[in-house]
Amino acid sequence: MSGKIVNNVFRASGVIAATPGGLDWSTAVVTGSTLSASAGKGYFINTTSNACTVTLPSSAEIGDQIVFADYARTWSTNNLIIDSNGNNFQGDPDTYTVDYSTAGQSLNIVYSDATKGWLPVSDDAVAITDFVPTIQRAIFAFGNTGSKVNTRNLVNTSGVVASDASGAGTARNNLAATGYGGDKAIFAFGTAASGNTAVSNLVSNTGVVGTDVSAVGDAKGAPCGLNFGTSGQGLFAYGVVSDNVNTRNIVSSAGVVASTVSGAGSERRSLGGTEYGTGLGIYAFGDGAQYYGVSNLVNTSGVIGSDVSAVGTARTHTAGARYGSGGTALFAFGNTAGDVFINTRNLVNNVGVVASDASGAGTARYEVKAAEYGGDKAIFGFGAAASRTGVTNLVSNSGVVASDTSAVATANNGNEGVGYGYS
Amino acid sequence: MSGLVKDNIFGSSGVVLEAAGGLSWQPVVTASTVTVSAAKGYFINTTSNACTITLPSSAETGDQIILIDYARNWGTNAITIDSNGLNFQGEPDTYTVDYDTAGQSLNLVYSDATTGWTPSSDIANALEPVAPPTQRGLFGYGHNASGAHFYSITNLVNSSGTVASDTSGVGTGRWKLAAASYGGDKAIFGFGQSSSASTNVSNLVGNNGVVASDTTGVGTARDFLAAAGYGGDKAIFGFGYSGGPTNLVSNQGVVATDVTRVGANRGSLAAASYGVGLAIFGFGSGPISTTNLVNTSGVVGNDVSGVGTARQELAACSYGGDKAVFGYGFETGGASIRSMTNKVSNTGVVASDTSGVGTVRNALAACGYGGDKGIFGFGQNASSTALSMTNKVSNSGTVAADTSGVGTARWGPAAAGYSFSA
Repeated sequence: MSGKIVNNVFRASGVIAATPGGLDWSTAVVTGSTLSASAGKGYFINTTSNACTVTLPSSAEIGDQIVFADYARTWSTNNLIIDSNGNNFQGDPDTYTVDYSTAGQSLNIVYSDATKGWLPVSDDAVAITDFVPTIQRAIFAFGNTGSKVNTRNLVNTSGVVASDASGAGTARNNLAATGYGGDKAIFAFGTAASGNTAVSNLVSNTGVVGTDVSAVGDAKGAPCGLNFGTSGQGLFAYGVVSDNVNTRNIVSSAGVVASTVSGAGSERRSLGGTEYGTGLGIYAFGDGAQYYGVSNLVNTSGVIGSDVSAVGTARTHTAGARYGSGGTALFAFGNTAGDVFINTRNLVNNVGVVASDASGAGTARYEVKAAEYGGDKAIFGFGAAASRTGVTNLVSNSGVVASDTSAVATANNGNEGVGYGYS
Repeated sequence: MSGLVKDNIFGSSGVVLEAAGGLSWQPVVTASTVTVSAAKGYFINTTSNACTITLPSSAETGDQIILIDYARNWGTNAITIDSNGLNFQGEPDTYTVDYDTAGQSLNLVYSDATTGWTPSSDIANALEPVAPPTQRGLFGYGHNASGAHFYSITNLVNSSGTVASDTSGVGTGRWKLAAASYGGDKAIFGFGQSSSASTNVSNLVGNNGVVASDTTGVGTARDFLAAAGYGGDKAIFGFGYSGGPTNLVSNQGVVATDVTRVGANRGSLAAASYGVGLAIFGFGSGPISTTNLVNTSGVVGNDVSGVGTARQELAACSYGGDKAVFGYGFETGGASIRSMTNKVSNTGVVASDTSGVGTVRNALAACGYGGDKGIFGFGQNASSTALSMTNKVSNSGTVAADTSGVGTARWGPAAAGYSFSA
């Protein structure tokens, strides 16, 4: 017994025990493979790296209580093992094996008597209810307004595009963007005045673009970015180096671009990409040896699958974005063979199946870019038809594309859009 | 307010209540009624009777009471809450409130006059302790070629699989009986055929391997049945000649009355435990190779099409902690005696034949030993000669060559594991 009076209460026998009024949760998170637990205490047991054998007190009295909580929701992988240290547990002797092996479980035990020993007050597995928040804002940046620029246009949670704001980093077009770390974004690659580059620019969760981060990977133009996994990772893939490629660069949850690794699917550029389902991605369309209608699914590890046969009309310079809350996405706009500009859209269901062409809305054009905003909606913007434009088209949370919203920003093609921010 | 200082704290009104710093846990309640107080915890033991729990007649916001199913018996004898004039989950005292799930604990908090007492949890806690594997075994009873000897002798098997010499018999001498572990570390022999007729007597075996005298029979008297442990600490006898039902054995070794048989009517089959708390009956007269799985509640499943050579008068035991193996037996006629085995996975799937090892024989027995190994022993050969050799089964299910016999050669014995101690 030590410390303040409030940290000491009376046990059933009347003996003063070193515990606060309820339980003493002051012990640090337990990561070891063994623990000697004491009555009147609560323990957070982290079994991420190993199972944990908990030895209960060798003597106990009625009403002694101990609580164990699955700190990292890993008890199903590495169990919590109870050594009842000579006392009974649920009426069975110490020789019996007592494992708790359910993720998210918490175990609240109380000592009854010598016959039944320790009994659970509860051994419930609590649900995980803290879901990752959704992206609320978007940013369009860089591109070609007549000359290569690094200006940016922020999009608020209602899909309203702000006027041009100063940016940062090498002015360029034909770049790509993806989210990372949950609520941040990264622009990378593109074609600068000096040619293709592999520099990248991080975007904070308040929409501020950082200066150039030294190039990693092959300098290339017209790749495409998307999110994958459940840990805030991104992926850049495809594009043109000296020829069209299908290589890829994974972006860590800290926004670090990894070196180039092999990819899969038809080598092409100017394709669209978006996340769908839970932690999955999909690339589709693009041009290379031909205009493509194929798609390529990306698994939760960022690995790209081989071509899935085309469903929609082959096209290039299209864009993709997620919409709704059920893992759905869409591709829209672009140009088909013969430079026919379209506003056609193709919905993607939550298992990555691309639907056939559906009528769209808004000015038919190519080099349109897209991003998520408002939690469950998307916005397509910019591009060119007879001339470059700054109009935008909002997408509802049911995948319906609205007619043109008048341009606020300077007309731009070859820029890029991406969502950011939870606020 | 009374008693020890620790039994008194301040309620939300500022009034000093009879309660400990957390909750004041009370001694186990076995009576059919109890009046409970706020800020206390109660272990309610309904082993012998249901219990009506009367809540306080007045309560204030935040008053808490916890009730725990002490003996996991609320499923048999429920607790009934008398809310004593106050509401319970928004309903008046005139409503009936029963909690009748085994292992449940009920954590009640008083909200206000409208809702009254509300459970902050009422979950049924899982029964987590799992019995360690048995370390020892014993073969018991049997018959020999002379035709006049219906034995009750036993041969203990130590944790290394070494069979001891005969221990003098207790109980009715008989053969064609069955045996299984129960209560974690004890065993039971039951049924069989004595010199006069089929019987339903049973003999309990303590965790020291000592066989008790006959327990008066329950269930249809029969022979050539099989038995296995299930549910962690219980056992089941099943099938047998003729039209044999099943009989569950409690974790106290009490044999229950007949349960109508499910599956093919047969005798001369074998049974073993597998998985976690599961069992399997398999093969038998016909002969057939049909199996029937037993769930953790002792419910026998429908016939599963056979795999492996159909045969009867075989034996089975567990190995590897969660798997089983059927072995030996004969096909059709006494000349077709075999030694092949069939492994059973931890999901109850029977594998095709593994080539036989050891002397071909039938009417043998098998049990586990050493925690994760098994042993086949005794039986008879094609010349109807009684045998006493044994064959160990490794923890990967590999059957070893014959170990020379110890003890009186005989056929039709039974075997089971016992003792947690090596």
